[in-house]
Amino acid sequence: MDKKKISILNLAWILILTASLSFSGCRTDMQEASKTEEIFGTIVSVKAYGENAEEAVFAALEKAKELEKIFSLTISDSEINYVNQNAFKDAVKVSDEMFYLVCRADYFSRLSGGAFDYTIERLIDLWGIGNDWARVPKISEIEPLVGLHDYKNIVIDSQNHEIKFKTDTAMLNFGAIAKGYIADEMKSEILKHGVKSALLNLGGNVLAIGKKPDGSLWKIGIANPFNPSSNIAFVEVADCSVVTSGNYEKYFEEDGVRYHHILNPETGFPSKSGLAGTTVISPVSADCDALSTATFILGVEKSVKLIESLDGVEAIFISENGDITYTSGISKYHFKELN
Amino acid sequence: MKSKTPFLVVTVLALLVFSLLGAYFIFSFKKSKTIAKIYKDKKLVCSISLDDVNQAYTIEIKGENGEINVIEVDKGKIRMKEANCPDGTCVRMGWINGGLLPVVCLPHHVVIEIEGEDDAEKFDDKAY
Repeated sequence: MDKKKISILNLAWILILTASLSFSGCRTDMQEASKTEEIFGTIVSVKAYGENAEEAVFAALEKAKELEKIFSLTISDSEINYVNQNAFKDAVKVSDEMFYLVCRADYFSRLSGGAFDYTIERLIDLWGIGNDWARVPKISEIEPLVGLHDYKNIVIDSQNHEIKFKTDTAMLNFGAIAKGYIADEMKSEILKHGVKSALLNLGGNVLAIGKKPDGSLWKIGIANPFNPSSNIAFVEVADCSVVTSGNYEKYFEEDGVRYHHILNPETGFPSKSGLAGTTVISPVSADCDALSTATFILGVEKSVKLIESLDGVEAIFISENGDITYTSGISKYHFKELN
Repeated sequence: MKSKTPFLVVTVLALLVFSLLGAYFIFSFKKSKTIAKIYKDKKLVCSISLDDVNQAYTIEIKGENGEINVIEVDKGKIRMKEANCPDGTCVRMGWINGGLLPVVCLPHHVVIEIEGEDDAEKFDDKAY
């Protein structure tokens, strides 16, 4: 009888001990690593959880720096600068990364009828928005660079991985897609390390990898275009990218008029489609990036049609008057407006 | 038999109470104050508990080639007051008191971040 009582007491102790051990185990076993660096002219932060988190974060940032050397226009010996300087004279053989992004950018340029256009570097450089020489160019300077649809004048040789410009006005600028592509490549790097839960943020472009370490969805706030330090809404996602384009991101003012950085290739001026911000959600960050710019320029009506025609892509449009419009599948991301 | 069963119950209850208390203390540490951190060239320059600020003051951060950023600190909020950077984006962001959007002066490599506030617990990240 006495032995039985003792064993019950022992059992109780063992239960309590194992319970408290497993409780503390949840808190300490999970590795976590995070790092923020400035790459591609933007703030890139990576958070990773689980085994190999540290190595995964390091590898992801290294990958970003590698791609920066290909796509950055501010690095003088980058591949894109070489292509821009030489591809009108002769066909230029390009890296796999460059070739892939040209093809992807070509797809989105055609899909959006040129609202997104990766060949308007001359126009972007003329305005210089985000640089200290930003100014409103003369009409005579803008006119030769408007409505060119130069994305149709890029010869893409998929057999030899060569690029050639048919016109001398065409120059590549991946500003509206490269950040997304870099995020996607960073994700592959993280997955290679066996990390299943991570979060990337490239200057406001969010890419969630897997679910949160506790198994719940990532809760991502969406900047209020009228007061960017606060959120206007949020979504909850897993394995998804959330990218916003807005007139509040980069701009300059001249004679009391605000000129933001999203140029309409058709007018040569900052886009005036009635939208203050667009947010695109899809598993691929490059697609989100390109489509957030394209829809910002196209305006609500055309953009809803465009996004609805694509599989696995949803979007939220915030008009200058504060109206919020969203696509039909947005509820699967638990979209919620905030007051 | 009768005398030992209550003892067992009391022990289990006591342990339960202690572990709950322990859990409460562990989790309550997360509710930290609003801390602003200022970085220059990726290095932490200073860390300020914004809740404890009674009177507004400014901090000047100087860099190479005459780069100057003036940061104003007030109770519960912080902003880039002045900067002689080319774009001035950091100054236009105005006051921040939380959220996940840091004030960034890219040309001068100055970053003001807020940590440990409610908002950060509510959202994992922010698209902007």
